[in-house]
Amino acid sequence: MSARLSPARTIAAHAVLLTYTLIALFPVFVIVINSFKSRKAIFADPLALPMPGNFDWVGYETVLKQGDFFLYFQNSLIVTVASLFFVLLFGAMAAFALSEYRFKGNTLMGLYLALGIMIPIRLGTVAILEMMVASGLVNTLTALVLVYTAQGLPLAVFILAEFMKSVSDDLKNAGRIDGLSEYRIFFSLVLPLVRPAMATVAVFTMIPIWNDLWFPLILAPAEETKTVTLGAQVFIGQFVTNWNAVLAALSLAIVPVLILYLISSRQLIRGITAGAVK
Amino acid sequence: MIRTLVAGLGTMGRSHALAYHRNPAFDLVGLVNRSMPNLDPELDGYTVEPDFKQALTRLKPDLVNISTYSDSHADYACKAMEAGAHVFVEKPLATTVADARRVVDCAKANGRKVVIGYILRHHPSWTRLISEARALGGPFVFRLNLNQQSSGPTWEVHKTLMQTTSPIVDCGVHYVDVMCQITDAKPVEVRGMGVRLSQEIAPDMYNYGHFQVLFDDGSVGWYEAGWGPMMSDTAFFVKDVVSPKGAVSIRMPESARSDDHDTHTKTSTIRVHRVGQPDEDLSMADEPGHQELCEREQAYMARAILEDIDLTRHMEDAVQSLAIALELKNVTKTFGQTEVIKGVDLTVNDGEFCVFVGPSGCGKSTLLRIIAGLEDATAGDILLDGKRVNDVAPAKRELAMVFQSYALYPHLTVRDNMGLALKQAGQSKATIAAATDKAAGMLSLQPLMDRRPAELSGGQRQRVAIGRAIVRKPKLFLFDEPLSNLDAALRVATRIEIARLHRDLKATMIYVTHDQVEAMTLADRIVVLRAGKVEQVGSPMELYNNPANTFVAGFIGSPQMNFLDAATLGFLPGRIGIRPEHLTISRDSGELSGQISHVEKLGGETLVYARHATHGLLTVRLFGEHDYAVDEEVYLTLQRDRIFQFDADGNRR
Repeated sequence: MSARLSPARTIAAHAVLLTYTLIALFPVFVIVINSFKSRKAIFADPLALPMPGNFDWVGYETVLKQGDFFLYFQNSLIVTVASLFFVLLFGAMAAFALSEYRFKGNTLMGLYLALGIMIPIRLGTVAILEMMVASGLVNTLTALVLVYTAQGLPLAVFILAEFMKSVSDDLKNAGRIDGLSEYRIFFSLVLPLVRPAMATVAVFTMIPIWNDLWFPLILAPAEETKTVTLGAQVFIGQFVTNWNAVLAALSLAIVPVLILYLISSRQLIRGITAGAVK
Repeated sequence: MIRTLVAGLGTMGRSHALAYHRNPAFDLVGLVNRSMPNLDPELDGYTVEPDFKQALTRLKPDLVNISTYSDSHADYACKAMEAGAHVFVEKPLATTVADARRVVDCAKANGRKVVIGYILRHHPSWTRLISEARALGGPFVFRLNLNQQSSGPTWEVHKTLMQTTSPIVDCGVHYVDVMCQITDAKPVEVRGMGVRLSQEIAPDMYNYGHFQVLFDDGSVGWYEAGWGPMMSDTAFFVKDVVSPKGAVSIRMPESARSDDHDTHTKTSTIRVHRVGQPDEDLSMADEPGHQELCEREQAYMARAILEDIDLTRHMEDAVQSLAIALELKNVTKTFGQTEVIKGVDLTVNDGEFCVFVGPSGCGKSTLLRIIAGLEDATAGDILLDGKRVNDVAPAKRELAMVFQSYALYPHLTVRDNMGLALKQAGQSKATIAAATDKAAGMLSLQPLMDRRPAELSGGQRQRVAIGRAIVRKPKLFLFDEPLSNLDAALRVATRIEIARLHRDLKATMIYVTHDQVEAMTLADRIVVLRAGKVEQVGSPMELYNNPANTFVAGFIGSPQMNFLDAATLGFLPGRIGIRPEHLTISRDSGELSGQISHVEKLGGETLVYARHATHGLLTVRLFGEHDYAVDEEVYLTLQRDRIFQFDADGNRR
């Protein structure tokens, strides 16, 4: 923070950032305030804050009475946490191998993995569905975990490999001379040092999984495997949409991911600014 | 008269030649050296010849003194014995155990005497103390101390010393060595303690301490040392060995002062007390100098020949001390297409401090990593203690490494950092605690044991890294530029610490640096590397006084050696080298004229840079302060006997 900015530039920069924040938060804000209003009030004045006159719990009542909704939440959490775990574990291990060991095809392997970032996995939906049908995994959470793990790995490997290259070779070599196994070196020396990068990857991986509608709809649309996002769709009908319920469901869906985000945000900020400060 | 031929006229060879010349038991019949050295005026009239073999066959000497470079010792010794001569050979006996064994076998087969030049074994007072004590027989009690009531300037010196070294450590090693020589037993336990008696020293330093050493034959040693104005001068110099049959002591005159340095080296009288007999006082008044020690060595040589002394143990000791710690055979390393190490052959002897030095990118760190097992050699063999270890994991090679970046585990405390290797090896908690505490004591790390690396300063981190290496009791220590990240003052202090550790631990150490000052000050032997090849191997002074080529000549010594065009000065074509201290400067006349382009005044010395029309910039090193102005015209003269001649390829003529 050595460069001193003139007040005018500081104000301008803050104005831009604040505008962006407002734009980004506006839809969330509208969803949350309207979820507490009656159906009439939503349509009468979508931007009004919930007041004693228009306040209504009906959306939340509908969502909570619909007994399956807890199951949807549970499904979403299982899928997200399991995918996140595998993405971080396998991503970090692959990144360690790519950054630490010299072997034939090392660079090629790195490029191949990075290519996954550029090709959207949804292009392969038909093939994935055929595979899942063939292996009998349709309508299971396993199918979703597998797909999301594959989807998250390229970016995880790419980011973590860069960070792992910055871990001191001397430290790893000291571990080898002291008789630590490669696994101990990876888990107890390297992983703690790339924790900020892991948090960054975690956040970038977690949010698309939680919000995804596509794969749950195609691979696991059965009642017992529905995720929150898919579950909220039951309130959207072809002719009538229960907006109170949809908005309430979406508001509720924000909460878990917000908590996960807050937990890793401290690490995330450290990850983004690593090297920038000091 | 023993007809004697001296081969090799370095410092040792010249002293030996003088010793033979002065001793009537010898008849000095020939001198062999490749070039013409400066001889002592007493040796005027002797001719020097270049060829050893011819001299040997023509002169048929009874004794050959071999003071050449160590790599020729074994060959010359065997040739001499096969020609029927006895042999005196400077240490080391040979450069490999196999060669040393060959010399000993040859001596036995031909019935010849071989004496190896361990000069300190001829220091009369200590050898006498040791032999008298051994004659009494063990178990022994050693009572040794060295307290110094210091004040004023000597106290200042002590305080400076105590910035790195506590009094018991400073001289303790020498006395432990004496104890070991007397008992011939293995030390099994050391207990030490210290007290801080002054506020003028660091909080974690102590200026009084004593320790006890327990030997496996039941002997017990005590050593005490204290420095400072508060020390008592009662019984400050006790050198006492007690055994069941009596005691041997060094006696001091009552008038001796405790902070006078001569007191400690002078050991005026040795008193031998035997139970039931009157005491015997042995006068040790004559303290010999270097030349005198050489003469004593040669007197011993004469006795060995004339009285047919059995030298078996003497020779076995020499072979033992040569036991090789590390051997590299034709080691090659390629990264992709680039060959970074090109067929390196090298042996490192047990207990040796070996320094790899060279400019950055010369492959010295890669070579160290290959020894450690962190890199694989593309071809060739690495032998540790005679065993091939190419396929052995780093942790199983019984070595420890200290890294430039310290490489401490950030999540562990100092104690756990130091103990991790032992924990991995499955040692018990008590063993680990004992080993870490001992290492912490050696490096004054006790107050830091529960901190994490982030809470330590750079110097402290490096001490912890060294401690982590010591704890493992490795056969081989590897240092990878350990001082590069420290500031200048800490670098000197840590360098002294490492040198002291080498003396204390008597371990084999390999040290990589690009700094020739570190190499010169620490090494027993320096390996100069360039572009993956060994340029020269030798002791610091061998490299300084006898560089094999222009690269070594330029790399060793600071400021750098001057190189001049040889032909214009009347030498054979090529280049000649002369060190800055061997150029004389004058305002009036001299061989070469030049213009001063820069002057550096360092206080103790002055460096003058003068530009010569054909030879370029020449550096002159003058001692003391001198006033030369930039642009002044000066004349430089080369000291002819200090000139090194190199051929067109840069190799020494």
